[in-house]
Amino acid sequence: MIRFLAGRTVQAASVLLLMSFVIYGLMGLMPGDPIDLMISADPKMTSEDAVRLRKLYGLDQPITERYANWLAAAVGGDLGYSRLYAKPVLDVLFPALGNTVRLLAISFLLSLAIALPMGILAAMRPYSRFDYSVNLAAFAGISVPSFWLALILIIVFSVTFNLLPAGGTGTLSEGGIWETARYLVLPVANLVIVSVGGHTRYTRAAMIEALRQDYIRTARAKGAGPARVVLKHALRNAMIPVVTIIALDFGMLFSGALITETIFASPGMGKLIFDAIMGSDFNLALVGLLFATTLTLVGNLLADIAYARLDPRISYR
Amino acid sequence: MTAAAPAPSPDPAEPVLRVAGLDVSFAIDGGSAKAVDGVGFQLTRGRTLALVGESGCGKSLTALAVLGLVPRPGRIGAGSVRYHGRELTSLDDRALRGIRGNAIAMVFQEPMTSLNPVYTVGDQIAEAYRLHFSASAREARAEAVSMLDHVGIADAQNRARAYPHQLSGGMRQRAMIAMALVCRPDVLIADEPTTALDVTIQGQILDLILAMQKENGMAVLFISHDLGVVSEVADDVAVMYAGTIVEQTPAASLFAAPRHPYTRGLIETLPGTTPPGGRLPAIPGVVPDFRRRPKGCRFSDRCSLADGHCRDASPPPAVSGGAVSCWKADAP
Repeated sequence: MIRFLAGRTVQAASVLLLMSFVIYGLMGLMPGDPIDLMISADPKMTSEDAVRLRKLYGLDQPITERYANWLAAAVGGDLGYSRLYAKPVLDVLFPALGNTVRLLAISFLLSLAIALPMGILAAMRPYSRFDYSVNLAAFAGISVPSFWLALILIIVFSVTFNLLPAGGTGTLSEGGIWETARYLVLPVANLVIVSVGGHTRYTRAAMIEALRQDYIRTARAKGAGPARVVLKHALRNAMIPVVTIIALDFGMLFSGALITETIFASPGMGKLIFDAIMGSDFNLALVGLLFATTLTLVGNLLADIAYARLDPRISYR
Repeated sequence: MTAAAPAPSPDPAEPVLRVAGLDVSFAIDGGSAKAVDGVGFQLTRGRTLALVGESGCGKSLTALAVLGLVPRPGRIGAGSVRYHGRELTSLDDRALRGIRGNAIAMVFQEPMTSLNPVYTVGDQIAEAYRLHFSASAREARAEAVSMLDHVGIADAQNRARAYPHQLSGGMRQRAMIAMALVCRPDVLIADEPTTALDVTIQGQILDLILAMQKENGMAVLFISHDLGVVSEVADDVAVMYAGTIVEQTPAASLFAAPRHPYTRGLIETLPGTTPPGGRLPAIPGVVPDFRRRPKGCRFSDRCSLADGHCRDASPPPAVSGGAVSCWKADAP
């Protein structure tokens, strides 16, 4: 297991390295560079000045060279300054990361807390009225575009009934936990509604499959009751595929957070990356995207570990 | 959960399990079709009844019905299952759970898929024990290990920690048998227990079941499609065709003097009854689908002896030893 983890960490690091080059390249393809921005801010700048500055900051070099320089500095711990915020990149990213992780963790746990029982109950009575209702709700959730849903939530709960804030974030010092929670309700609801349907469907399908197996008949034949049959014998087997799909879904949730955070003006990673790209804040966008990549890789690694714990047939040597 | 082991019946000749007029039906297209129709038999202490028939004739469904485990949407339509005189078909699920695995245990065909892949065999056997006896985890564990040892698994202490995929097919089936026997049932239902195994392992598993039976005198219902295996284990044989028992008889007389044309056909298909080099005979046609059975005798469309009467009226089912369900029984 230790060796497996070490191997996967090396693998993840390689993916991250590759991604850093790809993202750096894409950033390089974006129109304009920092010097163009300086020109637009200062009309007195001459083209000689621009050439001089490009040479000074190494922007006249080919992209591979610039990437190598950036990488050397990044590995040394210098990720550069954010142009928009005039602060070191990490000082800007960490609070945003905290906000996003809080939003994602709450949404993810809430989604699973709803999806697992619903999926299990639906699977116990497939094609019953309850099952059809759950499926209908799940498909509605899957089909709703998250940006549209977000707008509807704002119109209904913030504008019409004025119950909840339409965006932003509360601070603990001002209004306490409840005040902070009020700001989270709509973004969390938005993310949960768009992800819970898929989770429910996966759980239901995996449980139906598990409940059809011979070992379920064996469990019943030895006198196990329905709760034990479902929760002990079927659920653990059903969780094996569900964990995989849900972990891959974690990356999707992250990109869903980008839309949700932007619409609800919630200061998280998604909004930060969006603002960084729109504002040509190269350093911030680059590192922000790498953080997102890292989170997805960590999600996959956790799924592998969970997988091995659930299924004894899988052994990582 | 602490139903005491059932008291053995006072009279050894008294049947342990008596099944009568058992119907299992499935609702189809507004009506319903009987997959098992009027099945009756008795199991007595220390004896083995083999239930023989082709795939889909209702053997396994009959066994599951005894335990109240008929898969949805099937249900027991009529009939009675009496265990030591106690009617099981009218019991609720909770009461039935006290019987399942405790008084009446079952071994299945495919030991790989019948054991749960994510728990160790020791855990699964201990679970069966704890479902019926109040025992600590440690006591149940010890019971599981001694049972594994008892069914001939070497190094049981360590093997109990193995997951099903780490055992060979024969060992898995031994573990299944250990699980079935850990509560000392007095009825064992073995549903094709050797079908998925190599021939050499088959013999070992049959010997094991017979040895266990000799030791604790349980009644065995042995379900098989393989007359060769049946001839080795059975005291009595019930031949099933298209949902009904067509002939019931002691094993010796079944092989010496089969009476139902279907039984005769089955025995003729066995290698060894035809002269060497000759072609093995086959019964013409296929088993009718249980939703479209012929009127009258179900075998009439495949039977060389059938006449108009056979096609019009069903012969009464063979519900006890020596009975045959055929208008033309003993015809030349």
